[in-house]
Amino acid sequence: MSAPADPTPIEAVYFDGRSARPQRAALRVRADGLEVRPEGAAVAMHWPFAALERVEAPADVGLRLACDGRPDERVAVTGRADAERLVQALPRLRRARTSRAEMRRAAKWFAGGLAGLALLGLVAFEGLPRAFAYLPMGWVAPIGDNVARQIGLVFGGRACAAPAAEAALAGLAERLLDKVEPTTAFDPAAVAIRLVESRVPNAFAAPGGRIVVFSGLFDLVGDDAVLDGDAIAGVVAHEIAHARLRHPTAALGRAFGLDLLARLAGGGAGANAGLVLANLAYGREAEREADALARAMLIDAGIGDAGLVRFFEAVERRFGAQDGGYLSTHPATAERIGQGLGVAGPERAFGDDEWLALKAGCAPAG
Amino acid sequence: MTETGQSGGPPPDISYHGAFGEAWKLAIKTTFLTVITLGVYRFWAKTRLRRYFWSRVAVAGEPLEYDGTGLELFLGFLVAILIMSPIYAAIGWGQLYAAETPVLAIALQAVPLLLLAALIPVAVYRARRYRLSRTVWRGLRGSLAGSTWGYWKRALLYGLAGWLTLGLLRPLAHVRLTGYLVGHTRFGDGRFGFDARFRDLMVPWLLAWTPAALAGAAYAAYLLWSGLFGALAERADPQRRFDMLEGLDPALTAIGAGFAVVLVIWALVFYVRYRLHMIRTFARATTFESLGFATGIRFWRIVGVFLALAAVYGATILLALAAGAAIAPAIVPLFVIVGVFFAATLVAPMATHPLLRHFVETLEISGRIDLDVLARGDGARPRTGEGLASVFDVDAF
Repeated sequence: MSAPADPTPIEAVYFDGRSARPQRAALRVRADGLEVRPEGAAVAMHWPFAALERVEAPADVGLRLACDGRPDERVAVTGRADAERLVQALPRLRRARTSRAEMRRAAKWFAGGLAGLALLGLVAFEGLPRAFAYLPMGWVAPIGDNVARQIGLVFGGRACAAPAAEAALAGLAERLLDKVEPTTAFDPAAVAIRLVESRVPNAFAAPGGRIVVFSGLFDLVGDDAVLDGDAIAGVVAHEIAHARLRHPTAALGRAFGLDLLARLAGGGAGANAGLVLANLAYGREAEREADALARAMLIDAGIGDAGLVRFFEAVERRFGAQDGGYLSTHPATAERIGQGLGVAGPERAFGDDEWLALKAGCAPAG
Repeated sequence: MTETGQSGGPPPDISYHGAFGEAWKLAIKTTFLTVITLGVYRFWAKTRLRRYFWSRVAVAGEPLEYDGTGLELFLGFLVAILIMSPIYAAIGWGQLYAAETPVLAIALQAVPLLLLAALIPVAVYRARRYRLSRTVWRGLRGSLAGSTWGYWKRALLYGLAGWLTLGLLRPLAHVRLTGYLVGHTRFGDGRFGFDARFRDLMVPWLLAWTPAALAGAAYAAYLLWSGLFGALAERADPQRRFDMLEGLDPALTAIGAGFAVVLVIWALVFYVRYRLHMIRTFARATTFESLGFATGIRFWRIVGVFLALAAVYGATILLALAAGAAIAPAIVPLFVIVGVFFAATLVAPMATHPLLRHFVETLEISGRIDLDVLARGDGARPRTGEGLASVFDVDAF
C-alpha cells in the first residue's frame, strides 16, 4: 500500500531504546513507509507503513509511533499541527499491537475461550451427570451419608430416635424392591431410610440409596391407616424411584461440576458440592420419570397408586397449584394428579401398629 | 550502573492527563463486554484499561506506555487453569467424602485456603514482573529482578510470623515484601531502592490491631463460656435443646455485644489510617537512583472515593433488583447475580481515575537526576502474563 509521498520533513523526537536520551529526528513520508532520520545519523531508518503502530497517548501530548519488529524504539511528534499532518498522511495507522495478524490470532483464541466455556458448561451439566450415574453405589455411600446429614441440617431438623417408625419404612422399602436385581449402580440392599424431625413435609433421595424422610410429611396427610398410609408409601416409592434411576448420583455430578467451575472462576472458593446438592432439585423430567416408576413399583407390590394421587391432592390443598411454569423444579401438581391411574391395590402399605408408630413420629414414645 | 545523579537537572515532573468522562465511558464499555461474554473478555478489558491509564501518566512530559496484549493474559490464564483444575477437582472430591469427623473435615476445608496462601505470592510476583516488563517510557522498559522463589520464601516466612502472633507482626510482612518488590524494580538500568523500617509502622498498626484483638478475645470468651455451659447442660439432660445465650445474663450480653461493635468500627477506621500511613511511609522510603519521593494523599479523599464506589455498587444492585422484579419474580436472582458481577467489574476501573489522579498530583519528587543517561536494562521479558493472578483474582486490573 502506498500514500502520496510528501518530502516536507516533520520534526520529531526519536528514542532508540538503548538509552533514554531523546534524539531530534526528521520524518519524511515516502511511498511505502516513513523515513526516520535522527540528527547526525549517517543512514535513515525505514519504517514500513504495514509495520507502523500508533501508541496510545493523551491528545495534548501529541503523536507516538512504534514499529512492529522494533520493540523498544519510539518516535514522538509533539507539535499539534505536525502530528495532524502526519496522521492525515498515514490513513491506515493502527493502534499499537493491533496488526491484522495479531487481531486474527486474538480473535481465534477469544472465540476458543467462548467455545471452551460452553464446553465446560456442557460437561458440567450433561457429561458429568451421565458419567457419575455409573459410579458404583458403594463408592458414593459415604457421600450420601454426608449429604443426608447436610439436608437434615439445612431443613432445620434433628435426628429422630424412632426405631419402630424407621423399621416400618424399611419394611415398605423391602416390599417395593422385592424383585429388583442389584446392579453396580443400584443395590436394593443399600437403600436406607432415615427419619428426620422437621416441620417441612418433604422427603429427599441422596446418593448411595440414602433416603431422608421429614416428619412433617406425616402432618400433611390425615390419620387413616390405609388411605393415608398408602399416601406416605407413594412418597417413599417416589424417592426410591429416584435412587433406582440414579438421579442422586447424576445430580452429584452436576454439583461437582458447578463446584469446580465456581472454584476456577472465583479463585479457589467453591461451594461444597454436598451442600450444593442439598439445595439442587432434580428437574421436571426427572420428577416425571420418578413418578412413573413409583407408580409401577406400587402397583407391582399390590399397594396401588391411589395413595400417591391422594398425596398430591393433599399437597394441592395445602400449597396451591404449584405451577411455576418453565422455571419450576417440579411438574405442576395438577399434572401429577392427572398422570395417576388411581389404582387401589389389594394390599395396604402399613399395618395398624406400623402406622401408629409413623404418626407418633419423633415424639418420645409413650 | 548509571551516573544519573552526578550531572543532572531538577527532578522530573509527573502529570496525570486522564478525564473522568473518558475513564467512565471506557469502564462501562469494557464492563459490559466482560459481562456479556461471561468474563472471557476480561483479559482484553484489563489490557484496554491499562493502556488508557498508563498513557495518562506523563513523566517529564513523555507518557508511559503499556504494551501488553489481552492474548498474553488469556494464555497465561489457560496455563494456570490447566494446572489448577486437577487440584481443585481433587479438593472438591475430597470434600464430598469429608465426614463429620472434625479433624478430616477441617483439614479438607483448610486445604484450598492453604493452597491459596501458598500460591498467591507466586501470582503477585509474576504479575508484577509481567506488568513492569510491559511498561515503556522513552523506549526503556521496566523489569523486576529477584526471583519467584526469593519472594515466595519471604512471603511464607513473614506471613507465618503474622499468623503465629495473631496478626501483631503483620506490618513486618508488609515492609519486607514490599521492600523486596520495590528494591528489585528496575527501570532501564536505573534501580529503585527501599529502606522502610518495620518499627515505623508499629504504632499505627497497634492502634488498629488492639481493638480488633480485644473484640476477638471477647468473642472467643463468649464462645468458650457458651460451649462450656452447653457441654455441662447437655451432660445433665441429653434430650434438651440448648440455646447459646442461655448461660448469659441478657443485660451483660447486650452491653458486651455493643462494646464489641464499637471496637470493630474503631479497628476498621484505624486500619484505613494504617494503610494510609503505610503508603506515606513507603513513599518516603522509596528512591530511584538519586531521586526521593513523598506523597501527600489525604485520608478523606480516599475514603470519599470508596464511599462513592459503594454507592455505585449499591445502586447497580438495586437497579438489577428492580429490573428483575419488573419482569418476573423468578428471574430476580439471576438479575441480581448479573448485577453483582457488573458492579464488581465496574468498580475497579472507576476507582482508578480519582485515586490515580490524586496520587500523581500529590506526589513530590526530590533530588537531582539526569534521565537521559538511563540505558536499557537486561531484565527478563515473560512471554505470557499473570495466569495465576487471573485464577486467584489477585488484582482488580
